[in-house]
Amino acid sequence: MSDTVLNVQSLTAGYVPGLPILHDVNMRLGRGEIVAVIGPNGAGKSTLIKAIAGLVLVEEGTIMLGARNLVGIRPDEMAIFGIAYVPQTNNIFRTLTIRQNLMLAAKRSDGLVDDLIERMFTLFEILRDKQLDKGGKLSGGQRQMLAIAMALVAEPTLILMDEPTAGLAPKVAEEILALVQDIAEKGVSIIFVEQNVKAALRISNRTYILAEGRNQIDGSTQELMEGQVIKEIYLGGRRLETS
Amino acid sequence: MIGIVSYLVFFLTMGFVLSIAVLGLNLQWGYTGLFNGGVAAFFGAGAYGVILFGGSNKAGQLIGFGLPYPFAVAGAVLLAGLLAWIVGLITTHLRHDYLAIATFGVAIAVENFARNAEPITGGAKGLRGFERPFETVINDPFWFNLAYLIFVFVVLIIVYNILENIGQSPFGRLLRAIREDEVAAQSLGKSPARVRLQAFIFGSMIMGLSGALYATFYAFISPQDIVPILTFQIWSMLIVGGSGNNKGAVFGTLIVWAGWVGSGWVLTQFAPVEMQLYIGTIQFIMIGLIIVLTLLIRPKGLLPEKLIISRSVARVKPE
Amino acid sequence: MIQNLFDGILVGSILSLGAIGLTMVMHMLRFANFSHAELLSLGAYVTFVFDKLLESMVPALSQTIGGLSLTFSLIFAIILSMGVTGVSAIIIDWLVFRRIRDSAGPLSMVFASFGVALIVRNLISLIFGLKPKLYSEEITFAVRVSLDPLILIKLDQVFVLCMALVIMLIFHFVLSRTTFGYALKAVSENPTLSQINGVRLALMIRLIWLIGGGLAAVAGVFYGLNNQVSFLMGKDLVLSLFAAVIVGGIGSIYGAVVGGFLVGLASNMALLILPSGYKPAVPFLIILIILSIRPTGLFGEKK
Repeated sequence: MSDTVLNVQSLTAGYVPGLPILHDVNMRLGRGEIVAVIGPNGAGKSTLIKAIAGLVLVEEGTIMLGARNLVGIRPDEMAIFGIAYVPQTNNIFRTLTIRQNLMLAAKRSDGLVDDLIERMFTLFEILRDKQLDKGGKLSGGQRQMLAIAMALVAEPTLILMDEPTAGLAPKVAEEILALVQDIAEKGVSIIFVEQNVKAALRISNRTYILAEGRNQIDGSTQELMEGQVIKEIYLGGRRLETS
Repeated sequence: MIGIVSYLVFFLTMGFVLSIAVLGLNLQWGYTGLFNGGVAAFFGAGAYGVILFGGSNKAGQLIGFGLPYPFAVAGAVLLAGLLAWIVGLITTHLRHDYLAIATFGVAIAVENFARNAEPITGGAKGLRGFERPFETVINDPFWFNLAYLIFVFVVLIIVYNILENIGQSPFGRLLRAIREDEVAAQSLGKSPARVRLQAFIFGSMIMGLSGALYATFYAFISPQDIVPILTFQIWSMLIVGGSGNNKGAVFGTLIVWAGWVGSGWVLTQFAPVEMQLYIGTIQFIMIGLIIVLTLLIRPKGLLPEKLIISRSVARVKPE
Repeated sequence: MIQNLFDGILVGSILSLGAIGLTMVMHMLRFANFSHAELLSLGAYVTFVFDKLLESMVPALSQTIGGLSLTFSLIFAIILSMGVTGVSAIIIDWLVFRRIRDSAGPLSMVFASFGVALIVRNLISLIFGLKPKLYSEEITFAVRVSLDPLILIKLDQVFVLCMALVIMLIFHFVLSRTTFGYALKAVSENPTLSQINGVRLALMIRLIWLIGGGLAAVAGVFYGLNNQVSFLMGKDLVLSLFAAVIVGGIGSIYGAVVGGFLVGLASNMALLILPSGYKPAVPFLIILIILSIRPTGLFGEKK
């Protein structure tokens, strides 16, 4: 298996001290790997990636990026370590133009910015046409593309995505998922939270199932798809047993 | 000796009058979390109200109804309530600091009105010549003042008990619930804006009562008595004592009032001549320091609220 | 009528400068800062001190510019004072507001700002005296623009208005053309998202105080040039500044500029129907009217 990029160990984290939402969560991610996090509502899926992004109070455990523990690093410093985070909603600036959004996200002011933005426009032609429009004018799918472009423009090694397909029309959602696969093929690792279990299992290399803030099952997606467990307890619609 | 006793009588009378205003503020801030930046306006409405309603009509004066004292006080309290209703109706459902700005503004407007509407308020000279109840019967300043002290004390006890009862009633719990978590209170089917408005009006009426007692004591009121510093004095009294706690409110009032009177006395006695003009300035800095330092060092005051409140607000701090 | 219009625009430009900082703080730190207006008087007095210092150190600087009563030393003093006032705002935040922000709700900060205002205002009067000061003892004569209706305009006033507009224009370019400007807009729209995008919130907060304080200092000097330098300046202006912010909509920088002009105009036009004694109450009426018909202001975002 590919070398480990990120290793989350015994993570206990939440918004209020003493009231953790995640309990003892473990997770591992290899280079260029796509890992999906699924689970019922309120399972702590979003909290998990927020914790990695430095937005949530970590009470115990480590988040190792290579040899570096990310716990305690401020969210605005994450980019330095090559981590980008795409929130589920409000993930672009409505009052800035598309181009300004990208310039801000590029986090650099040298001559390379224009090249980087140009590369984003080749990837998302639609954004090029609208580059002088305010972010607030974009449609749902376009917003999601801009949000992903804002992550990519900073040239990360790891992208965290919170339900990138939520609220999108099926066709647009497919485009986004295909894009996620493309990005991973270029060697960028991706962790994404997904409501649509089938889609998650289809494009990910491995899948983690969270419930009530704890790991339930993990393993390669292949194993999960073949295993009786997930078919019965999850895809079959039965409520997930909690530990 | 009689000098000291009569000073003590004055000191306590004012202390109790101010305590009533502080209790009114405690209902708004301590119980409900409403920021009233214009205590002086509602105090002033009561003070001017009692003389306008109770005083007789004099030359060049438009208003002066000469009502019997209890009616004059009731009118004064209602006037303060009316003012609070107007301001509260517009602001209690908005972002919380809008109320602070609007009430701060109403205090400036009321003072401005008092200074300028000469036919009604007597302008900068103020209103004087108010006949106090029983003044002619007692006919001795010392005994009258002592009797008035007792009267004010009784009023304070009554107001205190009413507020304590409110605090323990379901309404009082509702106020605290709204202060702590408006959304949760709303989900219980209560309209926070409405309840906040009620608390705001009632608290302001208590301030009006305090103003009425103040004006009665001096039988005189002028714009000088309702300047913004009054608001800050009353605020400092509340937080020094401990907001949310009525005992603390009265306790804090007496401490800050003693500090104010005491510092004034010390400065007039011992400050060099060229500093005499700046006694007020120094005292204002003192009030500012009391407010800031209490918030920084002992935000719950000397006598904190005796409630265990769940802290459920998550705060994301920068850095 | 036209005289009122001109006076209104002039005062409006000063209010706009002051309101820019206030609206940023009210939006970002989520509290109504009653001590912001004291930064105007602080800036005016610091300028006064630097002006006198520069004049005594370099007498050549005391020469006036053109037909203005302004001297070169005053111009330099303003620039120095912008820095000092901005840094003072950062220090006040560090001493008081930051600590309260970490431990209590926004209303405690509103409350603390009253205390800070009292302390700053009265410290100024303790140091500089109760009597107002003037930047220049020379009497400047107003130019009679027309006799009927009588319109008197001082050259200094024209200068103040032009400078205020130039400063706002510069600020506009910073906002719309630089990454710093985007970051400022980004932070005021969505603090968390801007953090994710590499914007350091604590640094931005300091910059907002620095800019707000600097602009307040200029506004204070301009107000002092137009009237006089008094420790009561902040007390007289605080409500007008809040009115400007609320008219424009909290958080909208352009709204604050427009709001400043509207409040300045309204306050001066109101004198056509109200006796002048009621002028201090006009901003309050404006606030009540805006809050009852459009609480989000002209440019504020709806919740």
